[in-house]
Amino acid sequence: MSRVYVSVLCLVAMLGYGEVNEGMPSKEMEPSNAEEIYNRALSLRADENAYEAVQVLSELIVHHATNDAFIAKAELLSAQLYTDLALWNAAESTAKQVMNLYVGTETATEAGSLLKKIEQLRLEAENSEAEE
Amino acid sequence: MCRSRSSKILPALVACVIVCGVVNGQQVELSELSSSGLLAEAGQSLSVDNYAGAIPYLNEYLSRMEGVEDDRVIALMQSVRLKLGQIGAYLEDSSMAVNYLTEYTEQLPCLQPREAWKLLALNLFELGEFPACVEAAQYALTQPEPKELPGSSGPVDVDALSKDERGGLTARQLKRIEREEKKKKKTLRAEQTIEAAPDVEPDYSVEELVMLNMTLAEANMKMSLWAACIEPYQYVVVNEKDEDRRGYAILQLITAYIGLERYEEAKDSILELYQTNARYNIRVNMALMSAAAALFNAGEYDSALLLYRMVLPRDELIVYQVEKMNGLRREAGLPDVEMVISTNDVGRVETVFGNKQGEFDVVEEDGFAQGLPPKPEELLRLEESVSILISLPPYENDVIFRCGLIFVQVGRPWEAVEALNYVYEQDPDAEIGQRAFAEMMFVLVNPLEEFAQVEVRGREFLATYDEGLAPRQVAYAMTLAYQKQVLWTSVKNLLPIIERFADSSNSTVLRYECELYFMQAIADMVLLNYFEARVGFERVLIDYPDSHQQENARYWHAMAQQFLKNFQDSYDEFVAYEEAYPTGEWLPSVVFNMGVSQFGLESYEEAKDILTRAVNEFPDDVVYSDALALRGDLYAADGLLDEAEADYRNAIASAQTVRQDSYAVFQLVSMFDLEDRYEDTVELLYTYLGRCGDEADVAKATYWIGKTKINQGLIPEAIEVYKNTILDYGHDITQEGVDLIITETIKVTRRLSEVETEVLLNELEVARYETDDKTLELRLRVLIAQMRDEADELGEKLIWELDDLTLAPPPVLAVICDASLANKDFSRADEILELFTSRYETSDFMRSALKLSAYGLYEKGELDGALAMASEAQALYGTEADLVWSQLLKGMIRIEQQEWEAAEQAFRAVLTVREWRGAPYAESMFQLGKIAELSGKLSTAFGWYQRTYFQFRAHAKGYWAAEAYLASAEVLDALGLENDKRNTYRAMLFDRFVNSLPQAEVARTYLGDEEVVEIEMKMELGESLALEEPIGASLKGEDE
Repeated sequence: MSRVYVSVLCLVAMLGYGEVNEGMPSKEMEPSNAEEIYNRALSLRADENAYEAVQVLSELIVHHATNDAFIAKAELLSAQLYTDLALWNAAESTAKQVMNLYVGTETATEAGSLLKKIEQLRLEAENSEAEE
Repeated sequence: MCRSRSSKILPALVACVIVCGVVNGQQVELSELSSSGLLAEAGQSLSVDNYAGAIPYLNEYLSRMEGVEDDRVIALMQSVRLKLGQIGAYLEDSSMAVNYLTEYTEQLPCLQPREAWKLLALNLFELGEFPACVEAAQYALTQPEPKELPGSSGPVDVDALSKDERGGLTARQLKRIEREEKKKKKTLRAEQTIEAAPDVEPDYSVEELVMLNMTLAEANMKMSLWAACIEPYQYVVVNEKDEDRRGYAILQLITAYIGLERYEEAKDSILELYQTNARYNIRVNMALMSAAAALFNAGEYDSALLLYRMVLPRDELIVYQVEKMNGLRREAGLPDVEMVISTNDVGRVETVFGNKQGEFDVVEEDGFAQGLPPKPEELLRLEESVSILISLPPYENDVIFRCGLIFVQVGRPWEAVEALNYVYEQDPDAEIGQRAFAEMMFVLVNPLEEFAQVEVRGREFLATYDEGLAPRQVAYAMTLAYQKQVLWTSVKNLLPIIERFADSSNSTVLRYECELYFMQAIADMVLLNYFEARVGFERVLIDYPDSHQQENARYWHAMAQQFLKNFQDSYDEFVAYEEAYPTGEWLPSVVFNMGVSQFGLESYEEAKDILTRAVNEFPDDVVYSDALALRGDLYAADGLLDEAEADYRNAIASAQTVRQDSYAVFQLVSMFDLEDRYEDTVELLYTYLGRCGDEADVAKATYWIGKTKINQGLIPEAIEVYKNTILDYGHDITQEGVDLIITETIKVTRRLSEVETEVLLNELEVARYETDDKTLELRLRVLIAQMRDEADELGEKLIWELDDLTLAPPPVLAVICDASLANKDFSRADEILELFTSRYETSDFMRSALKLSAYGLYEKGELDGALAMASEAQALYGTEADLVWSQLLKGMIRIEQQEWEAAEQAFRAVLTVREWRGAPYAESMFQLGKIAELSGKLSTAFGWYQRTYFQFRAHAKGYWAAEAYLASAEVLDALGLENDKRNTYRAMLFDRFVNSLPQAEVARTYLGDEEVVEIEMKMELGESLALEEPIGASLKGEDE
């Protein structure tokens, strides 16, 4: 490749082709915080405190979204917590989003199953409300 | 001229140039140089990388050879043009490059078309000439073939060349140089100097094809030719080895898909991009936000969220880039640097590329420190990119804000709250912080219904901020929260805050402001503050003349007029609405209410016509049933019972709400009641109960069923039905039918035997003690107390017992009112009236609250208010027996106001109403005497007093008669009729209805013991008062 061409390459790179990429770090290097939040949410759920759990978990979802180890399962857990709280619309929306964001993964499959469960629970709740 | 040699002569010439350049050693004047000398000088400059230095020689060569038609010279000139184009590109002088390369590609021979078209495309892009760039790139991608001069072929015959053409060398020397050049193949040195065309120009390498496709795609992208971008970007995505550049291409491909609204493909590419580390590229990182925003705007929230999540925080990106810079620095023999971010006096963040103290001690012109190796180009560019990144305003909050909005849109409320609250807390004073807060408030209201948080945080925010959009939005969110909680008074409490907002001319701000004032007026409507509501809607109409609420405000303003009984105004406004909005949303309701207004104006025929219009024009609208029912009322009032029944039945059949159904059913039942159609009543009610189920007004239906049974003489059955209904529905405070039943039960039980009454009372007592429900318990206590005639005592107890009156149903409130009035305790009058107007407006028991409030105002000296309250009670309940207080109070108020004529009219009015006969008559007559006395008409006064104690001594336990005796005596005294006065007191003591009352002591004191004993003895003997002439006989008629 001629030097002129090299120069042009660099010129174009400046316009957006980017710098040479070396030693790219992983998306999030410190998972401990995300893990801690996730476990706290799980613990709160175990204590039947879905109300607080979903708020705690939101911190992970918003501020640690690049943590590949936890983000997908955190979002799935969020859908489960909304289900616990009988916030059906939110539960459905979250489960659907998990299916869309993590297509082809185990998490997406679980979200699909959860979605069916939510629909069923919602129907039961509505019937029960109607009976009352 | 031998054209056939032209393409082959160049290597020889190049070699010649190199040799000459080296031999000559230094530059000389252009004009002194021969043509070959010019090329030799250019070659020498190029050989030492002095590209700019070669340009004058090469230009001079082209200038000097202009017009020469020799094939070899033409070929050489083309080679020079190509070289000048390459130099222009290298020196980043794209205009120069494009000029020479264009000339080169337009002329023959064109032996290196691929190189020429490639460079031309790249430099046209640099110049922003995108259409030409696209043409050049597309042509380059066809792998164009070299083009010779017409007819040229064969190798160069060196021996045939002139000396000048051989550049001063011998043919042997040239042949040797050619051989050596061939051996060298394509060394770097050869590429850097003027060279002839290769034997065959090679195909583009993959790298070059990537470059050309990227250029083509980028040029199309610049022209928003999205479809034309797809294929070249896809080529880059597949073939680019560098992950950074590949990531950039994927991102651009996503942008193109977004432009084409091919969101599924965009999403696939986003998922692909998500797997790369392209985000660490500064430009990619920035471009991600634009693409994400486009997806957000297109409603592609999942894809947008993925992109936003790829955007790296600035600090993280800088740390990575500094690490990368240090890698380059180490390679170049430079020391590591540290990133320093500081804030100067004006608050601007500055960056020092850590170039530690010594590095900048002495800086040369080119920016490089003395004593250190020069910075590589890549390092300089990286430094520049990071500088740009640092100089950008912070974007992290924007990204989190956008993520928050996505969570709002897709319905993930707690995630939205976390993101938006974070953005607010990062910078509460900034516009983005305030926007985030407002958005968060809406989510807290709906769907989270975190009303306590909304209240606390909203108040806090509004106490701090009063400018711009966010405070209006926050106030609106709070309004919605109150609306959901049915806290209309709280809505009204926002008004002072809203009125303090700083003025704005921004249309969005004004829209929210208008909405806030509109909701204020609606709150007034719901709270039955119709006057304030009318003022509120006027504010919306006048202050926000072109607002989105104009039509609604006009409709509700007219409704407020109607509720205020300004029927002519409401009618006119409804007519005006129809003229302004002939197809308006409220039109059916407007036409119906035109009929209601005419009804209010007592123009019944007009009302009927308009209601008929509503029935004919809006058979599918919700007002249809209402219009039929009201027309049924009009027919019934006219005695057209068949027509009325038909309308009621149609109203029932077409009812869209249970309220409509119930109204028509009970109106029809009332009509049946008048006609004694008991079977029809029962059938209608049972059908109604079956049709409406739990939503039916069961208690009211039962009330009518029971009443029918009573009318049929089936008292025990009726009481059983009533009792069961009270026990079944008495817990529900909204069941006004239960209260009707309580009243009816009290009346009916008077027809029971003592034993039957006791049995019933026992059953009710048991139920009272067994129930845990406060409302039912209170209802039962009222019923029991009324049956035992202990309502006043119960009322007194409940005044102290019930702190919270919201659990008290109307009959309970009524006994509290009656007891309060008896004790002249008006402390809870406002509270109770507020409860009635807000919850039980149609309750018959509200009359007690009105009475208490009216007397409360009277006691406070608020006479106009008391007068208005009395008038309102009469407007609601007419001249029913227990409403006499309102007329008596009016008279008393007029006396206080010394409006004698009005006072007299008020009391005379009492005497015209049959339902008010008895004690009210006595009181009125006495008061008429008082009015006459106060206005100096003593004879007239005497006349009224005398009529009072003659006609009404048996009423009010003789109270008014006794008062009249005393007042009469005083008047006679004032007239100087001492004997008549004495006889009046004597008559009082002879009067068995009054002589035991406390007032009689006045007469006894006046007459003295001896005379009193004489009167008592006469009475024991059965004698009566004997007078020679009647008391006041000397008075000759009324005063003048």
